[in-house]
Amino acid sequence: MSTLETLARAPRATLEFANVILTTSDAEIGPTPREVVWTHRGTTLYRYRSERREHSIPVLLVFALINRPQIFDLRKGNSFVEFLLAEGFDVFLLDWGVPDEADSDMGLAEFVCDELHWAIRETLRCAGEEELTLLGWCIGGTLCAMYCALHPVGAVRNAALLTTPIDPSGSLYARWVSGDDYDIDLIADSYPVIPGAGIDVANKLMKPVTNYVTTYRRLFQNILDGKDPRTAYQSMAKWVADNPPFPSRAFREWVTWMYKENRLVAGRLRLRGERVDLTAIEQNLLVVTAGSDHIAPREGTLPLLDLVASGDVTHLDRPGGHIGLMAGSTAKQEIWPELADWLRERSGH
Amino acid sequence: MSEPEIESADERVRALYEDAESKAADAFEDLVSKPSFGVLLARSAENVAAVTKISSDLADLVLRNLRVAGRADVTRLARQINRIEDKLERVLQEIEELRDELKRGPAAGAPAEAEVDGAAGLSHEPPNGSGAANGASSKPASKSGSKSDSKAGSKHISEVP
Repeated sequence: MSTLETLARAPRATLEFANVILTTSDAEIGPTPREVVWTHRGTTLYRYRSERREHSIPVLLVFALINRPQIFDLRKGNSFVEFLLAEGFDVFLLDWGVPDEADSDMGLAEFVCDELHWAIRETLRCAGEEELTLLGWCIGGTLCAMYCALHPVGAVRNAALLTTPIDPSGSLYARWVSGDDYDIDLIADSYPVIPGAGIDVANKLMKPVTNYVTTYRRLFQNILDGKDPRTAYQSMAKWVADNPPFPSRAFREWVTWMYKENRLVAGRLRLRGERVDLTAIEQNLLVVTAGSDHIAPREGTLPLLDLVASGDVTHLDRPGGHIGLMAGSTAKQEIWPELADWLRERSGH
Repeated sequence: MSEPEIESADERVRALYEDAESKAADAFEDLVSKPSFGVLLARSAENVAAVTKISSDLADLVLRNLRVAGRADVTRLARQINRIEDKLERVLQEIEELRDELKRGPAAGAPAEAEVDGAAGLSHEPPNGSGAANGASSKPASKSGSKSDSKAGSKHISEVP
């Protein structure tokens, strides 16, 4: 394209760019049809409709406490849920909901020992099975690991943990919040629920130029080049902007236990008096790390591989970022088939 | 001949910009990873939290003096509803357990009863205190057997290339 052409296209591209940004909230995410199986407080368990369930062991998807779980089902044609359904899996999704001030008493124990425990129970009842696969992503993966440690022999046959913080001591987050300068008590006491927008800003500040400049520059450039990035951009941008609040008790425990005291990997974390001992994990385990993950760097996940007692441990280290690995444009061709292969081998009777 | 030159000039401008952006990104990432930035972030978060708390308390005080239910009152009510829902959930799980037990029939009754009683003790005060007898407790021995068999061997970590 000549410079003249570029200049001629610029006004139209600017209008299109503005339109894409301004109509982002109208984008449809989470398009796959599903049914509510169970609810408790704000938590909802969904089962996705399928006409071809080939593998008996259901898959329960668990996402983090920040952002919403629609990332598993971002948009038609680029949905992990849709992919799993097409592969013949029985797919359930645990949605933590949008906590409000009344949920400020929800700590990690409530999420792991009540919500997740009960969701597993309901999944099994609904699927008519006695075992399932837990697939956790980010903090969701950590919660799943905690659950597996508390129930090494039980309903969970397979655990797949994607970009999961286990020993976050070397992460940028730890540098920010682990010192005495960060008064977690003051913040958790001030807010019944930590505003999602605040957590979003902190996440974006980890890569400020990339998040606040490069994203928009690339979008504009793509439009200028005559590409159509609307659907891909809007679905991801809408998901990124949807930040539910973090219950203050869970936030306080997460920051203190994981970042300030690093209890999980040291085996000193207790939920309702029970020690969360990662060395007790016996489930078939898949650990996925992303090479460019700045939120849960791979070095913070790898200690899990040495700790667990599982006889069947698989580690996939792939290029990509914390979210891009699973939701990027190449995920469908790269990481999803690998996950499906791993699950398929372990999902029969 | 002239067009490719113009194109390459255009490309060069883009490349220069991208290079500058990439360098700025590195510089900012370096900046945010400094301990001093962490302190700055912590102080800002604390200040915002303190201001929010003061304004929220003030707004609640005004509403309360006007004899209008404030946010704190609504939250208190919502918490009570949550507690009731927690209890209801546990009762529902008990009922489901009993219904499942009945479905299994009288033949399986006696042993099942013992099993479920045990499970119920666990289920409603699981290690972690929570309710729910899960599929875990009712898993057939053969399955857990085969599972532990598979785990009896030494750990093998497959690093998939």
